[in-house]
Amino acid sequence: MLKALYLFHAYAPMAAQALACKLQKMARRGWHLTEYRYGHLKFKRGQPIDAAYAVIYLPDANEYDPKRPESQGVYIAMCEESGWELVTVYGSLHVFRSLDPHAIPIETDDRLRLQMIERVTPKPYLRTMIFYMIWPMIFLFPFRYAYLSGSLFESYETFLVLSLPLSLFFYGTTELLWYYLWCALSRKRTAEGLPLFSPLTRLRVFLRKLYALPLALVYLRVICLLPKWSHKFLLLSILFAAPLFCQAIDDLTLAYAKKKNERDIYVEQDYRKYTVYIIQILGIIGLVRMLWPYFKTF
Amino acid sequence: MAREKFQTLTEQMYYILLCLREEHYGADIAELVRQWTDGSVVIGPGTMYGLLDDFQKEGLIRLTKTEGRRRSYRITDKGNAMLEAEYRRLLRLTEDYHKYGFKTEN
Repeated sequence: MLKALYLFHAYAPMAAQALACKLQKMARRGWHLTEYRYGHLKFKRGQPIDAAYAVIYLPDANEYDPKRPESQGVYIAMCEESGWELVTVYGSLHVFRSLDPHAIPIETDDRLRLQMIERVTPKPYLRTMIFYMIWPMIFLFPFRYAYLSGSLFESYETFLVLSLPLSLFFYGTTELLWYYLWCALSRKRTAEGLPLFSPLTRLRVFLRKLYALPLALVYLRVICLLPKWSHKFLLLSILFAAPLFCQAIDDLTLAYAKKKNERDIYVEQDYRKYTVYIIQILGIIGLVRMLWPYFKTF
Repeated sequence: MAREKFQTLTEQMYYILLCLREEHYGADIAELVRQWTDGSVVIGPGTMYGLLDDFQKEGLIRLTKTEGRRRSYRITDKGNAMLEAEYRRLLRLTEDYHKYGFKTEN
């Protein structure tokens, strides 16, 4: 029987509610969150329980500084006195659990919750996303003449190397777009006395998938320019393999879980991150292939 | 901006200030409000923390005691004035309802 399970979870304060729902579902299936580290949620097997979860991003926290601000201690103490236990902390992310599934939520004022998210988000997250947008532009700037002369995509290794910054650029752009869109919609809703904008994951995953479209167009351009059929076949397979590859991973996980009598295992289907990983791996392969002749001379 | 934020008080803000006419620990206020309102107004600990922090920054309440991570607060004169103003505003709304609301219905 599986004893521990690891799932990816990208840093996203605006998807806190979605994560809390997911943790609740997992606990009902006997998977209990033990910690969150470096973009991974770690679950351990236990008895299925109906517990409530709350995911809170607190300001003034820093994953590089082990000394926690005093204000956080007061916040955590107030939650603990209300029956919420702290499960894990990573930087500004705090996960609480209450064994009463109908416990009073930690945040009962959506306007304040939105303020907190807006306060905590710009610090580490937006800076990184802006960096993801700017750095590829600087990196790609020297290649502008090669692009204009049409020689940029003649070598598929070059393209694969360039796909690394491109993937970062589209990732950063969609994350920023999503953040501002979510904030604008949530602000409008709270002004009308409605809860925060809720189709959190679906739209976010859709936006993140959307970034793959320009990449796909670039890939198609490369396919047209490449003279060799083998390259064409390879690139086509890269383009279409990503979602199939992700599906295969999910299917394999499910098959393995079924074999281990874990029929209700939860698999997060976020193809975006797998696509990014594939592009980055291919970029590294391209880089190695480009540098291989130089290595051989030593 | 913060002044504009408290021009009118939400139910949660109103009851917190009302509670703090006597000294209370932050964590005890939520339970008191729940009892007073028969559970119709509930305040989560996170929201409570945020509101107490905002009130303190605005000078509406003051910290009276710290015991470990527990803190107790009490309303200030400025907070009292704001609570009174809110009470008068709500009273005027109620009076107007009785004065004009029934007339138009009839």
